[in-house]
Amino acid sequence: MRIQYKLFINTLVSLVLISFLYVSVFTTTNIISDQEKEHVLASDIQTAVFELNLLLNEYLLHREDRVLEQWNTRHHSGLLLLNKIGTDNRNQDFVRDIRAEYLLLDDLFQKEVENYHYELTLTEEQASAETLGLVTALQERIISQLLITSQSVSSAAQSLEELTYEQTQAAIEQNRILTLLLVLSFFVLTTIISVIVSRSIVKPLLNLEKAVTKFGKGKLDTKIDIQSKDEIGHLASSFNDMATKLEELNKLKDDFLNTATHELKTPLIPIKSQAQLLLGGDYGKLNKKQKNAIEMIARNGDHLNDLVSDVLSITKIRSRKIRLILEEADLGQIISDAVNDMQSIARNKQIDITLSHAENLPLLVIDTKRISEVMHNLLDNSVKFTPEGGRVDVDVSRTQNNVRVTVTDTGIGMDKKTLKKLFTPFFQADSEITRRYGGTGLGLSIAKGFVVSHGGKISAKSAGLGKGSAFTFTLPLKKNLHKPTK
Amino acid sequence: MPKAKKRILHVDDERDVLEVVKTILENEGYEVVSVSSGDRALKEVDVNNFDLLLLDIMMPDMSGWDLFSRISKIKPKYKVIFLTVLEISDERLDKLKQHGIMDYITKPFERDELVSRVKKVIAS
Ligand SMILES: Nc1ncnc2c1ncn2[C@@H]1O[C@H](COP(=O)(O)OP(=O)(O)OP(=O)(O)O)[C@@H](O)[C@H]1O
Ligand SMILES: [Mg+2]
Repeated sequence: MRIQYKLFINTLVSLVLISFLYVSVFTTTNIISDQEKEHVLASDIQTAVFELNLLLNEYLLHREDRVLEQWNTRHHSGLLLLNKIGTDNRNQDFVRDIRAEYLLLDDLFQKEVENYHYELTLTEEQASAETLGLVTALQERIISQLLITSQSVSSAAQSLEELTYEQTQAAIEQNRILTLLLVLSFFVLTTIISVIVSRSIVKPLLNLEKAVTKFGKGKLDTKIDIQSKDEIGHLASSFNDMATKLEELNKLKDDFLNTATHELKTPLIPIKSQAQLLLGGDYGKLNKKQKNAIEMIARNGDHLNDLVSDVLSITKIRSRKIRLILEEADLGQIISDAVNDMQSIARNKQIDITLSHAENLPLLVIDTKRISEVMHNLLDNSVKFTPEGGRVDVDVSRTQNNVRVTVTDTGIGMDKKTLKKLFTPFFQADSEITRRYGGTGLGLSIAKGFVVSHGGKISAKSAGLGKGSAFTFTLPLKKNLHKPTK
Repeated sequence: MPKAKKRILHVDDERDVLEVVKTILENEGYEVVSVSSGDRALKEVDVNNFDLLLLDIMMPDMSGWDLFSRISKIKPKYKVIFLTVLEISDERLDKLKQHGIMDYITKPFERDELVSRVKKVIAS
């Protein structure tokens, strides 16, 4: 499924859950508010009954018609309240009983009023002792009934009030628990769904990331196992296509480099060999001019050959195609070999090369051939750029994590601008000496490429033109290999 | 001068290279048979005996590797030196050393180097 749909469904489900939650909370709140209304009604009724009681007592004491009127209105409004209450089925019977008693209360009250008025209308002669006694007896009975009824109505009203109060509290409590449960289950559900969705998105992404990292480290045959059919699946298959293309291209470039080397160098073979045969006298003795000419051909042939090698080395370094052949090696030995190789050329220029190296250097895991080439390039430069009678000092020392090699000369030195560009391919400071000695300006960039691919560093120092130069490179003690950068 | 000259078969698709190698080695007293393709080399090996094979690696129809493995089927334990422009990785050389006496020389070579290597391998 596409991620878009997955996310859409995830959101949709969350929305549905939220609305469900909302509706539920809303409903329970409604229930509470119903309960509360019931309770309010009940306490209003209680008040009404209480007031009626007061009015009753007042009437019985003062017999005022004003009170009578008040009673009627109050009773009427109380009755309205009683009609409203009782929406909750549980309270219906109770309410019915109260209502009956409430009506009875009014009946009795009205009767009492009637009775009293009747008593007033009795004439002197009518008011015989007998009649009066009867009336009074009736009145007493009614009043006592009235008081009893009013008592029971009040207590019933109070009970109703208490009952509805408890019901409200119960509803609130219930609502609280319910809401808590709902919110909890909402969180659990949405979390579960989100986790499922994000997992189904993230897992293939992680796969992709792993593959891309591996690919970036140069494993060009990396392929991703595609499981999902979503955008990531598409991305993965595009990645696979790209990887295949790159692998092909890379192979093409390797082939090209090999073919180029072959084609460029092949014509140099007979040039060099014929020159050597001629110089060796195999075709007869040469005069001095002929010898000079052939030597020039040979020299330039060699130079061209070096140039081709260097250009291809740089191309390989730049495309990270250098494959180091690593083994434990004695750096001290490699360096003293390189110094010895250089001695004869140095002697011709009356340059002294000295070598000092720290005792007990550990064996390093390095590519002997490449490191000799680095040494050779540095020594070659120092001798080349140092005038006759100068000196070149090679120093090998050990730091905490590295072995450090420094080649110092008393040569022509260089300015700041040159120092900056030293390690860029084809760079040569525009001096008389470079022109005289040729070279391609690749020696230092190649040296840098090799040192860096060993996980080391290379740098140069000079106090200025004519003040000599010092080149330093380090190699890590631990086998700590880095891919060359650029 | 020894009576029987040592015989060397040189295979390379470049005629100029064949020519200079022949001149250098004949001047050292070897007999050199030069052929310019793998097919011809196979025919030569079929009918003649050689003390050493000098093989180029990058050749158009049949690479030096292929040629070597086909020759090995006819006559195992040939002494071989590869003459190649490209460097051979050490791992590959180790594997090949199990098949015969192996060496390789990168072209363009120094005359002296060619001669001394050839001498050394034939003598071994
Ligand atoms: N020891 C040194 N003293 C003064 N200048 C130097 C020294 N080493 C290098 N340089 C300057 O740095 C430039 C680049 O050096 P690099 O070794 O890359 O090339 P090159 O020596 O000119 O040619 P190649 O090494 O390819 O034959 C040199 O041309 C020179 O100007
Ligand atoms: Mg140089």
